[in-house]
Amino acid sequence: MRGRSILTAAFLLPVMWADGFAQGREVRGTVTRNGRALANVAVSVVPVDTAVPGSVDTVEIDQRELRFVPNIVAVGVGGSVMFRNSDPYLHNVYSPTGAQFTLGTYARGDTRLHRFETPGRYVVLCNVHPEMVAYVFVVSSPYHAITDSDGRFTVAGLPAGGYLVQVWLARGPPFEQIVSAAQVRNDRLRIEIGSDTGRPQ
Amino acid sequence: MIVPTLLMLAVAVAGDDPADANHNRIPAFARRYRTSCSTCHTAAPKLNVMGEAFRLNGYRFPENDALLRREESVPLGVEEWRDQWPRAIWPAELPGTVPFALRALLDAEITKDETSPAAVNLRFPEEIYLLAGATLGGGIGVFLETEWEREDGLDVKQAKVKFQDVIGLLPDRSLNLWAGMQNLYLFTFADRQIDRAGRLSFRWQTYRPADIPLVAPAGGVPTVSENVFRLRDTQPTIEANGILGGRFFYGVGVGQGTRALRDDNRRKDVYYKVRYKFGGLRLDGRPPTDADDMSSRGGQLLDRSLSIEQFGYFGAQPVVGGGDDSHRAFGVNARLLFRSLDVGVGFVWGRHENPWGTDVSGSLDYSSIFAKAELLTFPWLIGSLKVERFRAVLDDGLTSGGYLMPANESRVMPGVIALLRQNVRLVVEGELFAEHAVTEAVSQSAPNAIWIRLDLAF
Repeated sequence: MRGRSILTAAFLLPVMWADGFAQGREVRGTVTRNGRALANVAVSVVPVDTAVPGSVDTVEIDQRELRFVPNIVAVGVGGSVMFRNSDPYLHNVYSPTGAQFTLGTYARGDTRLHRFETPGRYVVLCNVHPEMVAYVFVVSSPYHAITDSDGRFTVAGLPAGGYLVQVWLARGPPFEQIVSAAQVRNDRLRIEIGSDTGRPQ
Repeated sequence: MIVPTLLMLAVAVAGDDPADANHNRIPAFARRYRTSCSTCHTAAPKLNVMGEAFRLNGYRFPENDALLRREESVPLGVEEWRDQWPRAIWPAELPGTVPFALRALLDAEITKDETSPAAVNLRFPEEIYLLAGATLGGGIGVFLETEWEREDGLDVKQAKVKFQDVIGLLPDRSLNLWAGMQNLYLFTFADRQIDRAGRLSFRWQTYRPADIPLVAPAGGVPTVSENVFRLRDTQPTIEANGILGGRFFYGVGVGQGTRALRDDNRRKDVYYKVRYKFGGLRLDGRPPTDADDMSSRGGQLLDRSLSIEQFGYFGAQPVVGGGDDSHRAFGVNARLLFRSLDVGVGFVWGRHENPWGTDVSGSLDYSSIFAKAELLTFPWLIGSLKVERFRAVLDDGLTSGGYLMPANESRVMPGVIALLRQNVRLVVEGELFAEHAVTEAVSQSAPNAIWIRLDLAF
């Protein structure tokens, strides 16, 4: 039985290796602060040994039941966000931060698209309902993810080499950490951010 | 010194972390929906157009109300029991938490006349309100307003129930029945409860014949009317109202004419009110066809519309000698909402046929032309200007007999209203009289004043 398993593994390993090259590398990790998992933070992985391709991705944020859903997204520079209003009420979309924009006030079923050209953190508000907030993290890499409830993230399709991992919170400058190719290959990354990261300035 | 003190107090009460300010806000409806004051108020208690739609819809958002609630209701029977009626009780619901809220008003009054130094009265607190509002399921809404006043003590100002869409076969919102002790809202424009950013009311809302004695000719004894009716007062009423076509509102009601438990005469008062709104958010809360009619700014929903309102009130009050003073009043106003600007003008005329009963026979007319402009300079700062010219005119018989009713007044009320927080309002408002007949009649100067009000709701 054991011999059969070894045989199977020996057969599959080259296949997985080749597949890994075709799909690119994968970075998996967990973001913590003071040892506690951080959910809903944006993580971007910037290759440091190769040029970073541009981004054309479009994500959607819905305005539903007086909330932005999801209320945290990440897009690469040049990426877009489609803002949809699914509520039976007027909503508005505007950002007072960074390269400010306003998409007007519109009714149910309408959508507005905004393309983000400048990296940074964008606070997105609804002028009609002050309790609504979303965060759009525009990162200088098309490789990004949002942490799950356990603080875990997975970014796939990366080129080989080392990386700069950035962790973006709702406030403050991003936390940055250089990780080597060996670290990425061997372990799930554990990114412990400083206790001041993301705190009010 | 007062203004800095009030500002410091407001800051201390409301906290200083903007992140925390998004939670545990204000009164009952805000708690139920976990939404901000400004969803429904420009500067509470002043309603915005969505708040007005919410009020007209029996304290429910016009569409998908259940989806928007963040607070779980307690079902009193599952929905399936509806199909069992009349063989079973129609189901209902209770709010998940007791829907109470408090409102406290702290006033500082600064008066100055020509003969004495300025006087400052700290009316801390001036009034405290216990408010409750809820829906009970099946289109029933309830509202309670209890007021404690330093001078008058505790009083139930409003206790009403709203039955929405009482006849299911009719179009939505076209026929509702509101009953209880309630404000008549003859005009929504400048109403002291739903359209008051500042502090001061117009005289036509507060005028009553009993306030100013009838001056007799040749130094005779002044006569005081026993009629204490005021158009703005709440009273036990049954009102049918509805919205037709989304933009036309009507209301007709029968009232006791007095706040007393027993009617003080055999006649019931009646009233009607109509309103039409051109442009902007529809009265039923649905968006306009022209998207440019709506906009928003800094957490405030803005409208572009023109509204016309008209009312009529017909009542009777007992007076000296056992008879009644039949009275009636009519009013019309036009109001323009243009983004950050809210401006309107109105006219009210009224007549009392017999306000002094058998003491003095004669009638009294009064009229008021009034206007109000409010500009949302910043989303949290409103500049306000109100003006009013009030006239009281005796009939020809009394005038020729030498009687005098010194009720005329003209005044300007400039003000600034600042939202220190969503639920903390600071009002500074002046009351400057160009004419004040009562004081002028006794050779005194007009009671010009500056009011500073801190209004907190939580």
